[in-house]
Amino acid sequence: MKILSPNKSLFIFALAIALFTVSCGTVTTKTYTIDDVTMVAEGPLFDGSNTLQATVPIDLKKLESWATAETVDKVIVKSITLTTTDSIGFDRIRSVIFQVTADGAQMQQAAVLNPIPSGVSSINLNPAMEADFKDLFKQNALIFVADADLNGDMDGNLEYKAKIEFEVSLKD
Amino acid sequence: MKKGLLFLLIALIAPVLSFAQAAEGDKLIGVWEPSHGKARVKVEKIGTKYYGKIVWLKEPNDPETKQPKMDKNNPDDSQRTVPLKGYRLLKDFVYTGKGEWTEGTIYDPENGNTYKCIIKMKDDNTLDIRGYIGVEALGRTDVWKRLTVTSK
Repeated sequence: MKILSPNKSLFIFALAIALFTVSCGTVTTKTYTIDDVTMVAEGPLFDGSNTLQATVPIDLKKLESWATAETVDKVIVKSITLTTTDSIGFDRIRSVIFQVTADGAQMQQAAVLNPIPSGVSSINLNPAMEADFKDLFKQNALIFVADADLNGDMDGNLEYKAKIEFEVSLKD
Repeated sequence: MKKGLLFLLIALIAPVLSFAQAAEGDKLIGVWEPSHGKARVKVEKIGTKYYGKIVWLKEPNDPETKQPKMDKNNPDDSQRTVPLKGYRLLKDFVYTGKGEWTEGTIYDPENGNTYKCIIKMKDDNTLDIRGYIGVEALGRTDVWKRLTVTSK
């Protein structure tokens, strides 16, 4: 059996690594920000969990011109911020659970804040570290669902502005 | 000409059938109580699918901490502060006709496991909730009753 010289062995090894890398494709990671989303729960509202919703279209071309549903490799949530502009703030809210769903994919829990500090008009929720939103990002639109635990009954609406940042990995 | 009339007929009837199907699916909406009586679950529609969240607990506080129960068995550590009251344990159910909702899951906060699930409506006030892993035949069924609101 003919034994290859060290240089030839190294060359073949490097070529194999290069071919393997090319076949796997290049992964590009970008931040997809969805801002100024109005989420509403229409009153009258009751003590306990009340649901705010908003539907937002997804446009992967904002990330890369070549991005399509097939190129989405992994999606995690980086941050979720809710802001209220009324005088009550979040003082009547015990906790908020934030979820994301779509008609063609399963709901994923995205973040939670429990308890909510008093005297604030903006909150940053704790993102779910192990949730992958890849299948949701392959749909045309996302439905954001926030379950706000209300302290007592309320006649009016609950309305928040949401800002959500996702980290999207694309494979070409 | 005949083909044109046929297509027109289909175009007119299809939305009506779709609306009827949606109305049938909406029968799941309401508040339900599992057989153990420890919780009540409110089912609502989000988009085109049905979801259920806990709106009442017989024992709302953790006996050890004396604080409202949280999802302490969630496999994701970062989500263990989610309060159980308000927790969405039924997810992604689609009405597939004949009183059945499928393609959904049910979460058991007692062990942090999520199971595939099928819901069958036995009558307007009774559901068979069957959770399983892998094969439906290897699951467990619980009977849920609708809570009716009585006027004072």
